[in-house]
Amino acid sequence: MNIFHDNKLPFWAFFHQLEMQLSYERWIDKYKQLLQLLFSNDICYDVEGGELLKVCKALFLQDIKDEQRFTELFKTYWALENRKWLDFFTTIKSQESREVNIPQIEKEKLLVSKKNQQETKETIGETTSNRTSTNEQTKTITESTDEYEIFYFTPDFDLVCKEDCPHHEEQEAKEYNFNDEYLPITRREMAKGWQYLRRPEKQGTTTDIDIIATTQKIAKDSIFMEPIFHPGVGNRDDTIIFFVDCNGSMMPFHELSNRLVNTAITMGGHKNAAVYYYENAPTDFVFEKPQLTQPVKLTSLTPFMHIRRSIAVVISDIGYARSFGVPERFEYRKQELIPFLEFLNNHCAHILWLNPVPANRWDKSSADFIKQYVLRMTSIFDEGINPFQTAIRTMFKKQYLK
Amino acid sequence: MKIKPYPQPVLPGSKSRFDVLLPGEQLPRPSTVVLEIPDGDFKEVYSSIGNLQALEFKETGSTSTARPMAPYIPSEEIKEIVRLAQILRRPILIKGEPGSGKTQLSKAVAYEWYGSAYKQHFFEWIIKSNSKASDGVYHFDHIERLRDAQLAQHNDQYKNKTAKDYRKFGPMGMAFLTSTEENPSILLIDEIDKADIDFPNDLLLELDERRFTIPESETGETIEARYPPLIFITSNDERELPEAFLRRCLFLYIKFPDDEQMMRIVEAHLPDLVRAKIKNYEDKDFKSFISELIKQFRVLKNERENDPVDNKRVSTSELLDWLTAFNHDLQHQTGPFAEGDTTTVNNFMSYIDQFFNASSTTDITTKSLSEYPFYFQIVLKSYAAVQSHQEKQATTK
Repeated sequence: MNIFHDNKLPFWAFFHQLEMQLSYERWIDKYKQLLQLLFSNDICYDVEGGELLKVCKALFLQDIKDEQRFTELFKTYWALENRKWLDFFTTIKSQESREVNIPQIEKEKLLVSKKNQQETKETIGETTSNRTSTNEQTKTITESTDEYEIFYFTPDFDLVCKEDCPHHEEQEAKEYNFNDEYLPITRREMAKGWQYLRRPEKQGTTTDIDIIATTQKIAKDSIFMEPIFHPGVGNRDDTIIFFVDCNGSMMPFHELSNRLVNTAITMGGHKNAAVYYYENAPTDFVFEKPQLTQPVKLTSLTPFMHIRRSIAVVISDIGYARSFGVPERFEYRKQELIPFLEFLNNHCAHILWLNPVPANRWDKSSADFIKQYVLRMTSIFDEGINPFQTAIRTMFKKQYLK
Repeated sequence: MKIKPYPQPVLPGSKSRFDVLLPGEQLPRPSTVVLEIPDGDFKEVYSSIGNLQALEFKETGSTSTARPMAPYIPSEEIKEIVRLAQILRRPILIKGEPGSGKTQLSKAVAYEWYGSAYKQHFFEWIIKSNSKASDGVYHFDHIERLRDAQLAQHNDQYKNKTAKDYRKFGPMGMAFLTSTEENPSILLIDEIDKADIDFPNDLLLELDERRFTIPESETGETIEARYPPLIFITSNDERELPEAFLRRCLFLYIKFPDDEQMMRIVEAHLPDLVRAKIKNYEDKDFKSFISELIKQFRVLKNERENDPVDNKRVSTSELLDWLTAFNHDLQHQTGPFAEGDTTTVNNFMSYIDQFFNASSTTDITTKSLSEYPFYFQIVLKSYAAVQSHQEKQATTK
């Protein structure tokens, strides 16, 4: 369904950026519906693309916190594809002989840019998108279409477009990031990742009758005494136990660790997940506070762990955040880590080791050592789309392949 | 495809069913309506081969009084999304601050489209933490059937009952069966985030294809909507919803209205307040004072949102509570308007004096709590908030 002259899909790059920057899925069917709306003339044209933005928001903007970024991206790509859109809307509307309101300003801009390449002085903004039309307006459109075909993609025209770009001041201001979603992994991605680790279990009963069991009971007792209900299913919220490495080389990742823990507890469905902190390697104690206060004996955690359902999540870089370290130091640390990892293996079902450093910067010997003890060691930031989610989703599959 | 406009114009010159012309008034104004709703039951309509096709409402002739319905002033985004949802036939997922009118929207659309007959086309499904997807579709009463099977041994009247007599439809099932092209039904799925994580995923087929099947062990029927109903789903954003569910929805975030729209909402909810007269200022336009209060409310609201100690959300509902309390005191001459209560009267009246006499009012956030009317404190929802507010006042002084 190519609607642009250059056989490219409209806004495809915009949706690609949405996917990359906001982790929104592209949703092909919704994209198709957007194109259908365009073809059925349900969206009006205006210079700022406000109508189209409204529809895009309704279709794709799933979180209001992303509205500013979404609008910025839209405006960027609207500015890039503006001429093509004008062409598209003009073609569609003249094809259907429908009422249109192509702004007079556009036509004037085209004329002036061709003749003198002078700056136009008209003010933009008076372009409302009402659907009433007059014969005069229809005439204007046909005229502008003709002129437009002549001037489309001429180099001097592109040059003028660049000079006219009114956003250069705003672009300077955008260098400052006022949003706290500056990490390569957003809170939404984290929460969705954690949701894969939920563990359903039987909880209470439902109002659904277990017909087979009830019939068997009637046959057994020779009389219907009471129905047997299907058991209910709920999610355990204490499956995860966090062990977060603090201080030292983990100092830059404190905010990341906090977000990972908070998203798991607040949005990821693990509201009773326990969190303990340690530095370098836990010996006999871990700490309840990130400031390494309120020590807790490791052995005292055993009542809260379950060999069949608990998942220990360790967030640590093993001291190799800068991609190099002192091998002797690691040898020393290894001696401390072995009892800790063995303890977890004896009391938890699985260990997931989250490393904030990309996999290509891991120290091979230390990473191989950890991998012997844990179910999965994975990087939080890595190449590919949503590495964190992918790692957690496929965590148990890997175990199966082993 | 028929696209129903929202709001639906009914009076000449009006934009909405909520608009009424009072004697002596030139322009319509929105008002709260109290409806007399016709009583009746839904009757099942079967095809020639015995398949359930639809439910039709049969009126009994009597009416009953419904709860008063407050007027709804929709923004342009809301009007547009109601139009889009009809074209694209997708449910609308509504998010917004508590008290921003998420639930009210669906009711308002139902009333705009069907007036006093709205209950026949509007179905509410209030989600609880233990709700299951099948609850909203249908329920099969096995216990009643087992009981009847036992009683049938002694009483013949139970022998003629069929499996279909024990099947009852939930709100979604009702919406599917009553929806037609002329009169599409409206379904509200309220607070979907309250239910279990898997709940939205259990509704995918129903939302996508608008059909469901009852198992063979019960009745074995397949129920399919003749025309897609308009579905509103509200969420307080307490939990991330699954991607597959989000893919099927249109998104609407109801924001705090702008000052002009807010004034219209206040006028609609509290018409007496806007027309009130204040002692010593009978000739002044009290509406401008209310408009100033709305502005001040916005300042306080923003202050709350930026406060790291207490970022509880306040929205339209809190403002209306404020003004309702204020209106009550004004009309009944109680509270700060009570005669003899010098402290509160002085505080409040000094604020009004300041507004009507001074060229510009002082910023509300620079005042201490005891200096401005008690109603303003409704936005401070925790002790920590009051503390931080007082500390801020102390430092500004």
